[in-house]
Amino acid sequence: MRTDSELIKDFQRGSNEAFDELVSRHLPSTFGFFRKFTDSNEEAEDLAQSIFIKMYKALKKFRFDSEFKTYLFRANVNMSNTYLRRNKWRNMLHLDQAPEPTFVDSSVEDAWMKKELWDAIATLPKKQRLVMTMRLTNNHSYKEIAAILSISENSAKVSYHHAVERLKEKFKK
Amino acid sequence: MNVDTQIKKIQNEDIGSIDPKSFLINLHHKRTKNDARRSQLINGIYAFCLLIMFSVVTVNQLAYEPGTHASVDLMPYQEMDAETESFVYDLADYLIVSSDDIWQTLDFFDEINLNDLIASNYGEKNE
Repeated sequence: MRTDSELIKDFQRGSNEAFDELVSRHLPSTFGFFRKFTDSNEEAEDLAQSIFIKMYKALKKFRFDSEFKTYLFRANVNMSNTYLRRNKWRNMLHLDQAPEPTFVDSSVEDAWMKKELWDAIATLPKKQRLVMTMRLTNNHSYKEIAAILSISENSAKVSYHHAVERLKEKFKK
Repeated sequence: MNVDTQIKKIQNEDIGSIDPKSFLINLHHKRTKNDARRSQLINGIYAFCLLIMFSVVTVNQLAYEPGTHASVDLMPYQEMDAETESFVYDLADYLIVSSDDIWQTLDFFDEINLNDLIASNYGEKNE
């Protein structure tokens, strides 16, 4: 099996088939990542498509400074922040269309709480936000997080702890 | 909201699967469409710039060379041939005859220096 780097090199030489293989390989994790904070499969698929369209352009100039997996993950996090920011505005502008609290069932309430939590995560400092997103979306271990973000394992743990504390503090108010 | 519970819920959430084949087909379709839209936009911008440049050049020519146009327009007035001169003379005659106020017509002739014209060309040459 060809490695990610080999596939990227083949793609840079003009092989679209190598790009397709790369997409197929990373699609489940990328789709899963976006599915965690969107309401539907369609929305998650749209976001995943936007990411891979960006990758199609970016990989032609990829310089192998970091692993593709890390590169893709960072792009996913950036895209998720953009999505959350955009959604926040959309929600604010459609407040009048929010359902009445008496008619809200548990699934709607769950979705609402999930959205609230992601909105709060989007406001965390960068490092905490990255660690929290990685823990939530892919259940990465602290060791993996440390490796991807080039920080120590302890730093990852501390960032996660601070992030949780901040979120608790936010929702206490 | 209980943050710990919510975090666990998100971590354990069951996510559906996705068909890579249809995803790839949609992806390439969307990418091609985006590329086409971008190139249309770029072409549009180029066309707009070209139009602006053309407009600026045209306007500049009109705006900064009034002398050329004026001289082209006035040249026949100063160097008109006998036929045109006689036409102007007849026209002046007609204006005098047909006007209600002859003084106003003569003022008008003064304004356009008709006397000079007739004196310098028609009048002198024909005397």
